[in-house]
Amino acid sequence: MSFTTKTTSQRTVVPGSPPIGGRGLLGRSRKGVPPWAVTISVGWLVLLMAGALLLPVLPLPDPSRSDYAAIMAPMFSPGHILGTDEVGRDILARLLSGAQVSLFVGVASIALAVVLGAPMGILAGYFGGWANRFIVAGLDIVLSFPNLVALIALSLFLGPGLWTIVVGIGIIASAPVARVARSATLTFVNRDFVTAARGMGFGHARIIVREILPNVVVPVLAYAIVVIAVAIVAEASLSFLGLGIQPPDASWGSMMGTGRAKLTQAPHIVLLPAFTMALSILAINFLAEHFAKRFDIKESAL
Amino acid sequence: MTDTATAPAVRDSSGDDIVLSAKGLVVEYPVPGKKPVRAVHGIDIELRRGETLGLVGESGCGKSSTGRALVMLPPPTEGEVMLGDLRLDGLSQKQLRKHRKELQLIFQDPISSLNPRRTALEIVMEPLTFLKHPKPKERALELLQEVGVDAAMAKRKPHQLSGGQCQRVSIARGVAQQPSVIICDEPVSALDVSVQAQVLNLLERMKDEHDLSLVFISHDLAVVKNISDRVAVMYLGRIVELAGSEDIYQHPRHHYTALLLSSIPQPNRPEKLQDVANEGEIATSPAPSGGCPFAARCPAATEICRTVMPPLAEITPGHRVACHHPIPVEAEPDLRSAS
Repeated sequence: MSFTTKTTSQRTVVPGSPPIGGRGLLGRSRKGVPPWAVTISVGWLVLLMAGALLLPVLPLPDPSRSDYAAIMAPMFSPGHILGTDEVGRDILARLLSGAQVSLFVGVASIALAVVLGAPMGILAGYFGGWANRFIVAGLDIVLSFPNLVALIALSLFLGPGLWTIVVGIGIIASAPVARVARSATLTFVNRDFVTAARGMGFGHARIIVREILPNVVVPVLAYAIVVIAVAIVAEASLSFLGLGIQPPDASWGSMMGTGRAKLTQAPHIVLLPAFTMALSILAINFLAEHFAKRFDIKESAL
Repeated sequence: MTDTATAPAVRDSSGDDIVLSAKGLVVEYPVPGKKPVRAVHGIDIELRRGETLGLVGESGCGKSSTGRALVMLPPPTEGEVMLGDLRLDGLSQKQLRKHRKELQLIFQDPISSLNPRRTALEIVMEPLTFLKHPKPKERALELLQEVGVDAAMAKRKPHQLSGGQCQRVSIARGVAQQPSVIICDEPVSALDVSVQAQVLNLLERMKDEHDLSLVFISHDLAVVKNISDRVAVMYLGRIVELAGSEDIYQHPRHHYTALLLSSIPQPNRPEKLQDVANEGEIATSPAPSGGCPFAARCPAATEICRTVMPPLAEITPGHRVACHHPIPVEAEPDLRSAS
């Protein structure tokens, strides 16, 4: 009887989670992402990265140059496979140019978030006490800020641009990264192997680097991949509002922002970047889930 | 092999070489908003060089707290801990760290005691590289070989090893720094019986080969009897009886020891156990001030037991007991007649 009660209460713990034993998106089981979805995700991201890196050598028009002979050309027009936008710029070239921005912002801001957040979280979890209270209070302040509003304010203060976005997202994302690092540290800091390390005469620095860090890296990186997707969305939102990447440089967000006026005449100007972004976010989320499952250590295996 | 600089000969009254000792050891754990819980009530303990000292008692009696306090992890709340003639309490963490290698711990949970991200080889190399051993890898493989973990198994991570193999790795790591004392905190309690014997034999062998002295903590009297030279019985944070292993099993003088011994199942003993005093309630709270902590459960308790704490006194050579009415030597053979 008590067992049933327990199961029922567990179901209600996480609101909005799928029912236990049920199937999530794409009908995948709770055991993980199916291999074909992982393959497609990797394929898509590799394609996007290759396109972004090879853009200068690809036989495509300059992403900022207007072709006045073909304004708002539809898809599959000669010379413009995915058509042109409202001022005649090649959409495929702009999508790849936007991919450069998105991938750079995603990776650079998360690298910054991990470099800032992980040490804070590990120190808070390892030392506890005063350091813990101080750091957790700081994180709560950052986390309680509405992210987009904070980013807009920063953008107005520092002036819009790529580095403003990277720094802003990096600082904001460092708070949840620190939380993940702290909770991972807390699960290991009282294990006997840490006590054993202390008993062997190791100092705090050596214990943190050699015993704690290897255990914290995996959950932090798995989480960081998810945050890459969030960072890409944040950059797109800012650029959509005109506070991010400035014209004539391309960004998926600004493409949607400027194209939306012509939505009825040429919907592909908005839909193509929207579709590209949605696919990329989905692919990143699948990979994040896959890595989290794959590197999850089986401690109950004994 | 033992480091005579940090642990020179200190002799007790009987002329034995004392490698680790504690006087008036008190361990308290803070409880938020309440009085701290006192797990160990001022005990004195001495570990002679080359001996195995068993520490037995029921759950929560303070065995593990005593063991941890002896290696200053964490340091005791009060009391003096001596490693040879070096006083450990009062040293700063930094000074203490230099002497840590003399004292090692082996834990109960084989999984928790090893870093899940490291291979067995890396785990054993860690203390060696820390002490700047010239050939850490070779030495670690040698140690692993010695405890029965071959080179192929050394490449595995803890979750790919069995519980017994994990404990072997722990033992190899424990002796890597050439300590003089190893505190074994229930090292075989999580293992099944056939593996227990192997790990116990290994501990015995390592003790002889590496000139170790062991403190062996367990709730299992049968295990302690086999491995220990002397046994200390603890009850609610106090040592109630301390004697040679054979002596204490043949002639327990404290009523609590007698109760513990009568609870060991024995195949050729009559079905009906002779209950010494198990009707008495198990006291979980700190003992009532003044009296003997076992008075409430003791069949021989009188008025004095409830008001005066009996001191741990030597009643025959080498046999110390804290009891106002110790069991007479002749009167008790019926309890363990089968053994």
